[in-house]
Amino acid sequence: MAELTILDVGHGNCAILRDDRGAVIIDAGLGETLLEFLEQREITVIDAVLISHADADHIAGLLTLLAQEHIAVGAVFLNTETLRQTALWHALLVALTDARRRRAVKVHAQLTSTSSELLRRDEIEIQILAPSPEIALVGAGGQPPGDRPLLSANAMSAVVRIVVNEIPEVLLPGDLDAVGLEHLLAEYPEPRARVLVFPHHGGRPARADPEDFAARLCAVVRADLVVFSISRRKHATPQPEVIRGVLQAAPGAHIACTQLSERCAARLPSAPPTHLNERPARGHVGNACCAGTIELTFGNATPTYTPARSSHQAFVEREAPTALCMGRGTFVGHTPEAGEGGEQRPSRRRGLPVAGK
Amino acid sequence: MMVAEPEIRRVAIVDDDPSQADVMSELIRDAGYEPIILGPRFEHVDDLVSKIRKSADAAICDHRLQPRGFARFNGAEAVAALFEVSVPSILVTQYIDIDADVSIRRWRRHVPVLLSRDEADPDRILQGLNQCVRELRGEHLASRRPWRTLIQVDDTNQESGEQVVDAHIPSWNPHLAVRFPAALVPPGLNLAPGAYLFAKVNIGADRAEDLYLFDFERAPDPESEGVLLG
Repeated sequence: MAELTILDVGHGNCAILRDDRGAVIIDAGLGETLLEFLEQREITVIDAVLISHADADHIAGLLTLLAQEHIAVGAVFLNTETLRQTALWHALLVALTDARRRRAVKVHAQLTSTSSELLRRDEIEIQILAPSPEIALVGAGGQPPGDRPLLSANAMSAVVRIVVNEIPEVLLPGDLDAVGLEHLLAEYPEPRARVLVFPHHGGRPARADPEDFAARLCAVVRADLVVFSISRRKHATPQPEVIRGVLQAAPGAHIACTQLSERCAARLPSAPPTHLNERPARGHVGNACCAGTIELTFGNATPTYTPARSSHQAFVEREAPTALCMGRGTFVGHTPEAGEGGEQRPSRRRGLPVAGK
Repeated sequence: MMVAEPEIRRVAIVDDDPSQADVMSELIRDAGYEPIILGPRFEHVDDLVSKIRKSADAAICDHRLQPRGFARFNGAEAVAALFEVSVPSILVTQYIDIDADVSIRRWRRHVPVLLSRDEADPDRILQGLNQCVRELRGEHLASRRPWRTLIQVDDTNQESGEQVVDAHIPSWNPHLAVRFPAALVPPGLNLAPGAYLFAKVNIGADRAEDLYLFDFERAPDPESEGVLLG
């Protein structure tokens, strides 16, 4: 039996994989939610922390995790970022130095497709699909041969795929943008997974068209559950064009944002939602959760997850009058065609079984 | 409206402004408590704590008590002292933006609830006192729970004759600097610009004025310990 918890950390990413061998953390966003989760699940040993890239909303939590004397971290994997000069990045280097010297944490300055063999577990495979080692050698800010676009830190995001009993279950692509997606597809033309944690929180994929990017990504991943890890109060994500691309390419997928976007509901519920699971979630403050923290359980023929799709969608129906995932919101730049009426209710022909139904 | 903790019946009002004390008295009555206005002046914080323990079950304190000669200490110090003897207390002020960084943050660890004057209504008072009671039991909200983390000193300055530290708490918000009294940091720790320290901080706080820091420790020094920084 294994579980993957996609934490509501506000704007940012953080997921925890747990199996019989221990725990692996994939990205560590801002705030205390990760530490609360570890305490709630009585986890004091972390086998590895995988960092997709060094943006604050993916690494800030690692700084605090490494400072907890009661939590043992085995290894940290992340790619070099030679151009990054942020105070947070420098602080992380100090924290890693302290952790490596004083607590014997193994620091791996590479997280590429050749790292997968170091992350092998029993029935769980943690695959790193991107970047390739050659792209990592070019590095963020560098230009690959052949007059290709410069690589941004987002394009260099490590793309992690969780495979359980040889079934690709979850794709966690950090803040992958359109340039990164092309590099990914050059190596893995069909990076399928049943669950997609949508990159960059549903924000703009650099210069690419958001709808085209979302549609292309969803068409190759073919996920049944698409998660957006967002904050209600930051960056106005997900972008409506992104949701439109998801609905176009994966019309039956369950779209689940961790928090209730202002685009979907001008007001928050007056009482705490009842559909959420019991895991910590940043959005518990002020009733800002939409799906909140999402927990997937593997080990049966098909994975299950909470909160259940039915109860989450009932919440959205009730509390989100302009819900983008229900086709209710205003799609910027979208002109409804005759008979379409601006309402695009997705069909529900596919979907993962959910717990608690 | 939330249900009040049953053990609280009488709430002491500590305010140097009689008109504000009267307003607060009405709010407390509307919240379902019996208000007791204290005065006329207090020399030591222990005198106030002693009087509150004899006459009330909880307290609401204004922060600036000194200008009119009401007390020789401020409300944050009084609330922290009341916390130490398990009296649930709320701090109220109309000077949050001015006082939160130094004179309030010095005591903020033991000030569970800070309200601006315009936030203070019967519901907030009820919720606030209930939060105080829970925190006194050791049940912290996520926003009040301290975690050990790394902070970086930006600079030290003077504010109102007191040495203060401007620092970043990257795991809380890497884009905002936070000011706190240097007196919170034990002597001997490096406060030079760029220095790192470990401290316990409630990194789940939403607002900068709700942050508190304590248990400072040395952290690796990038200059002298070979951490390869720019």
